[in-house]
Amino acid sequence: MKLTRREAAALLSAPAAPAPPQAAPASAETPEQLLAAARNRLRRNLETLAKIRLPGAIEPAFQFKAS
Amino acid sequence: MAGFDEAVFFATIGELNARLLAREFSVEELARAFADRLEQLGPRYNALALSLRDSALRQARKVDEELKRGRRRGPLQGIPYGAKDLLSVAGRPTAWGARPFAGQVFDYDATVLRKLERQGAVLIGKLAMVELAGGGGYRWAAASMTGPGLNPWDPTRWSGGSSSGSGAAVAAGLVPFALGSETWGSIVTPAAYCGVTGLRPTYGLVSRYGAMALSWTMDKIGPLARSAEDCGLVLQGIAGGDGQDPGSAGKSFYYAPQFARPLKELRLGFAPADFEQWAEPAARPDFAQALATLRGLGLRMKEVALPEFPYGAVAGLIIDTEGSAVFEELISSGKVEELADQKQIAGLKAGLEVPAKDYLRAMRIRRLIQQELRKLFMDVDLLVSPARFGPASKISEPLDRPRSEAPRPAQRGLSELGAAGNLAGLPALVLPCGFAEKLPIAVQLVGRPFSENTLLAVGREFQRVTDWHRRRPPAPAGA
Repeated sequence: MKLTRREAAALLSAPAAPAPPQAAPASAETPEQLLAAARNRLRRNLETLAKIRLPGAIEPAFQFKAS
Repeated sequence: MAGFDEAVFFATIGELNARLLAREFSVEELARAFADRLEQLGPRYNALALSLRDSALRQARKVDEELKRGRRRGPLQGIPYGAKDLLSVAGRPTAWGARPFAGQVFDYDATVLRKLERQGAVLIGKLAMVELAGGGGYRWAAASMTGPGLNPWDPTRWSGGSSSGSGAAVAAGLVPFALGSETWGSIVTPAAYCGVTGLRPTYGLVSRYGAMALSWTMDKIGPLARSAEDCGLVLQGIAGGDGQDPGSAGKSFYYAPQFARPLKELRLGFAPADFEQWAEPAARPDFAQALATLRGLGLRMKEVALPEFPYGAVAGLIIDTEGSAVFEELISSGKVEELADQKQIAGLKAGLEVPAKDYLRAMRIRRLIQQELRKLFMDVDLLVSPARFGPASKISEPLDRPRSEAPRPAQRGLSELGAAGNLAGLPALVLPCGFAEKLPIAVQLVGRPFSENTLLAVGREFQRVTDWHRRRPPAPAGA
């Protein structure tokens, strides 16, 4: 194909095509396995938290004050 | 870009504002140039969610008229910027980076965007993000409807998350500054990976009205910009009480580095293990130099360690539980299956099953963490640690696997400062401090609640004697 100088210049100055979005690779695990893994992760976190002694007076944290 | 030197796209807010006031170019010309650049280069980094060119040019013409009439609104007047796509713009799509919400439209503006508009800043685009800001926990950088955030320093690397587009757009000179948000790491990580300065404000200092919620008790909105000074100017513009945000602290912020305590009076806590053992080997020389630079500024260095708590487990449980509650309808409707990342889908489902007593237990431990960190800040004024222990990860690698075969260091140091700081609502300033594998690395300064001016004063001095924040990534081919 033969291009005029104007066409060639237009082609050269045109922005390159955007990088195609890459999809997340398909998981080798089934959705059930992934859910079980997520539950295990939460369970491990809960077990870790259960080891901490909490005096009854300790209330949940919601407020932050400058000290 | 016709008429504009490349340097304009990497100028600070102060530099741009001075040139606008000197009438070197108009606000409209500047907005048009940045909009062109954002539209042309933004897609190459998967950084652009939505161009707002038309409304930006209308706003820019309005600001030009004001300037002609001599009306001055401050340093942000006429400055273009981008906002993470979790902030609503009335009448325009706000997709939260997630396919199930593509086409979602709100009829109101986020408070931070209204505040910036009142100061004459010009919103030119919505920036890409990890879907739902990563709620549920994702495995791949591609967990976004716009694809993986590509790093302007090396597009085979991730720009970080969840404020992926905000980090990449500032680094590539597509916007002078951007708004991002952080629940746990979402400003710090993209700022560090992209080599820009980022500020995570104290919880409650900046209104989240109009922003997607992920964790009501941990979400914060903050700037990514070219310098600590710019972060201070933007924070001043967006901070302040807001009755529409139940988490608002009702406090204002005035950027006043001139009133900061002398650096020689400040005690800076650090843990050698962070820099010598936790940091990846390629990053250690520049991290060591950053510590030496801070010491050279006169700061009094003091070795510290975080109090013993399972910070990651506490933060993870709180975010998982709150995030799944936020997206309960998405999960129960089945539309959650449209998300890009399979691990994230599973994580959101599992989060719905956390018993209330366990969530409350995590929140009570969080109270202890706040108390113990308050004690730590009696001995030091601020903490420093690597923002991330190494440079940006590869797009092709899963994010939930260890990057190194090396055993974990025995000393914890401040290695969990990210989780700890977010649990306690503490502010953090990310400062680029060098390179590893030809990619940026950064340190983070963390301070007491509402101590942003102290962090910014130290950051400003650090950037006065270093130029890492001035480095630019290579121009992309064809730009």
